[in-house]
Amino acid sequence: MNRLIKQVGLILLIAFSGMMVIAPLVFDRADATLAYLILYFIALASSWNILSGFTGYINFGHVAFMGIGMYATAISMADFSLWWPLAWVLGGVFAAAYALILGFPVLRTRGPYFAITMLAVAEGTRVLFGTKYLEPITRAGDGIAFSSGISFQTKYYGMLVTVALCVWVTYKISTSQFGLRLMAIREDEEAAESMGINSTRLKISAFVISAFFAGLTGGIHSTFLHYVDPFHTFNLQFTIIPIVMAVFGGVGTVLGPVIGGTVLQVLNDFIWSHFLQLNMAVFGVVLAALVLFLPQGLLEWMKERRWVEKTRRI
Amino acid sequence: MELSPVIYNALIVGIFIGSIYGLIAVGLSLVYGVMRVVNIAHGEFVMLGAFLTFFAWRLLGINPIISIVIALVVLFFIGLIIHRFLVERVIGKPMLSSLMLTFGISIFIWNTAQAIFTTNIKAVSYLGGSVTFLGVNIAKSYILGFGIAVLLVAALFAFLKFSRWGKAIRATSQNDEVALVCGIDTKKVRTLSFALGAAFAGSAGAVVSMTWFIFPQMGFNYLAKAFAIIVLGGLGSIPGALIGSLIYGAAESLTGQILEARMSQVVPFVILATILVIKPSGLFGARER
Amino acid sequence: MGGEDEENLKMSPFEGEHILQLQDVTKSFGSLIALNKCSFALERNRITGLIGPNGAGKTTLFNLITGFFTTDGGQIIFKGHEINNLRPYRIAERGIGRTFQITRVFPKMTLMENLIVAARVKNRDERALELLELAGLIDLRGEYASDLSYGQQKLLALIRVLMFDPDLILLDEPAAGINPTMQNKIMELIHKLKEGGKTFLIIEHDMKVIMGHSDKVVVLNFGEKIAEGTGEEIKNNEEVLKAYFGR
Repeated sequence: MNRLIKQVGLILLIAFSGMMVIAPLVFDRADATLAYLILYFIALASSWNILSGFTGYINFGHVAFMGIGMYATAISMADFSLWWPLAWVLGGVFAAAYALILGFPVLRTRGPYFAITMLAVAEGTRVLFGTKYLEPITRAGDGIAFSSGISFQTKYYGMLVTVALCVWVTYKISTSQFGLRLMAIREDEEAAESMGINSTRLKISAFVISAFFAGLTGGIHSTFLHYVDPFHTFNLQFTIIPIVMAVFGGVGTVLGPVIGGTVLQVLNDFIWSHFLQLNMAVFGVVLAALVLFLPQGLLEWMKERRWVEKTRRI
Repeated sequence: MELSPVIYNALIVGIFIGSIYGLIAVGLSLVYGVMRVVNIAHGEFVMLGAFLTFFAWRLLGINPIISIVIALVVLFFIGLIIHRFLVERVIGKPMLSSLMLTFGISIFIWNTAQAIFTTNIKAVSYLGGSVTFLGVNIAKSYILGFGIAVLLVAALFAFLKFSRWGKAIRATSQNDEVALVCGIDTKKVRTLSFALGAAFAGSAGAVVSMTWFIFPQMGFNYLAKAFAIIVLGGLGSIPGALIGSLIYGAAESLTGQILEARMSQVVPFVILATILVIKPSGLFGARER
Repeated sequence: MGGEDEENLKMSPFEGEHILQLQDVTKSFGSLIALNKCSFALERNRITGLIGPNGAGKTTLFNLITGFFTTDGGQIIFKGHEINNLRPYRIAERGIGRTFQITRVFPKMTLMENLIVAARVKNRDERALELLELAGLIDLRGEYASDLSYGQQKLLALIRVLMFDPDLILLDEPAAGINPTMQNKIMELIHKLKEGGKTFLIIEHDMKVIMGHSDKVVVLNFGEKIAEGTGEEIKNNEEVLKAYFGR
């Protein structure tokens, strides 16, 4: 029975991957856009997972890094006509730099401090981008509208590569000593320190990697939207939705965010078309229900039942 | 000491503003102290209190000042229910669980409120005008807020110090295992604390409805400020929350005067970052590494 | 066991040198003075016992040595360098390892993972397997640490500390709460390690364990050192008897 499930799972995974690869060529624009958004949210959930899943430091301000990436790419293309691949990577770089600077004060904290502080950081960043002091660069509340000159296919495959890269990095981390040490931090940070593990340095590393991917994702997405502004770019829902997706799929696992992203984005799409206004409320309920009934997430639950191999590699 | 009138003005106003924030922060601190849960939905209790006051005033013609008491009671029960059926179930589980749960509850509340009440900004224009106090022009609603805050906090202190349940709360927040062994029903204590926290937030919301704007997503703002305040004062310390709120209020007010109004909204984040770097345990928190 | 071992003295290249020195170490928590000008030294390659009634300050001392607390006064000198206010991971890097009174193994990680996390060498897989073999836990290597029995967890905690090869090992009640067979196993391991060049400082309440295995004993009471000497000397010391029995 377990064997059958594993085989089915593997087939599903391959089929899914294949479908995502050929999507823009085969589907109509609407469906291809859904596929793109699935990738977009998987990227956000997976990048969030790199810090929060492994170390247990719940980052409620992930949108800040995505947003920085969006702005960096938008500004570099709109004001400096930077070539798009460089603009995208620049998004990741700026986000990573932001994380590096923030990391030192913020990651020295534990538990709830970190979570809410990051929530506050995200909001603070949004407010900052709206103030008149930064207006010359950010155009404050007006936002920046720009054209990217790239085709939908390019953006789609850019996002696909980002997802693949992010998942691969997560896989590499989960099977390395670096990853084990991150997990040790989650299990018992003080005990880990007493064994020579420099938790601050490790946390910051994970934070920076997580931010880089979020920024890269944001950079690509800004060219998809052709527009950035503080209110929409730094919107809280881009923190909430990826977290719910990662929790649903399984925090700390490699494929958890992928599963969560796919299932919940399809669900989101459905809800959006039927209950537009209560979109977030539904996510709130899902999150609460997950915490109460399936806190370890779907993938981990399956691992416990041996429906999936119980290894860190997945 | 000769203070420029602008600064003096800002400081005095800041103290009044701080007192309103303090009312919110105290509830958050109480809940954390007793059960080590940071209630992310705390801001939503403020929002609910504000909307309650608004609709009671608009639809039923109820005096908003009376609504302060109504909000106190209604939010007490809302908090009671939320705790009894949801939050209590993650007590003892890792911090992540309670953070996520209260986050989910928070999202649900404000989004539902948004769907029902729309995002149109409202306000209760009841207590208009200002009064001169110590040479400074203070809005009447600020004075009311200060008065209510002082009243409620004093009541809380008395309750904690003298009543049986108050002592039970203090015991539980110091060591819940020992409290349990001493025969205290810690579950009831937690429910009571959570409900009290919600009640305080709700009454603060009633005050806020007369002072500032009302809209479904307003909760988060107050959560951030309350959190910055309790970090500043030291997690779990109610006196710390009070002193922290006054300092915070002054800081916000000064920033608003000297820089632009928008920048004053960045104050919580700056304060948080500063405290975390200098002394993470806050003013009155434990001094260990 | 318990007396000086002539063979060991001759073999140790750091004969007589003090690997750890505490000089007037003081720590208070508010108005409570946990440690008051505590001074003593540990010789290399010896097992030193740290005893005293509950609340005497023993675990606080461990926390100070390993960097979990900062000192309010005095110095802690390890291998000739002051380590007072270093962060715990730095102190571990320098060669001090510890276990905790209540075992703190990583619950949702396997035994193998628990060990690998602490390793600082290239051949960590081999070393981990070696240690698991030594402790008799090799068959359980793929199990989650939280699934082990209490005694097994204590063993795991002990060998985990060995993964990064510290010179000084602090053990907080290694024999507490486990059956005599397991206790013997643990003490055997400790002696084997001592022969291999390690130094131990052990907090224990079980007098048999302390008297039977320590080369020297330090006694604390109310944060002060009240006696120091061999097991025999301590057993008959007035101050010690007063502290424990109030005579």
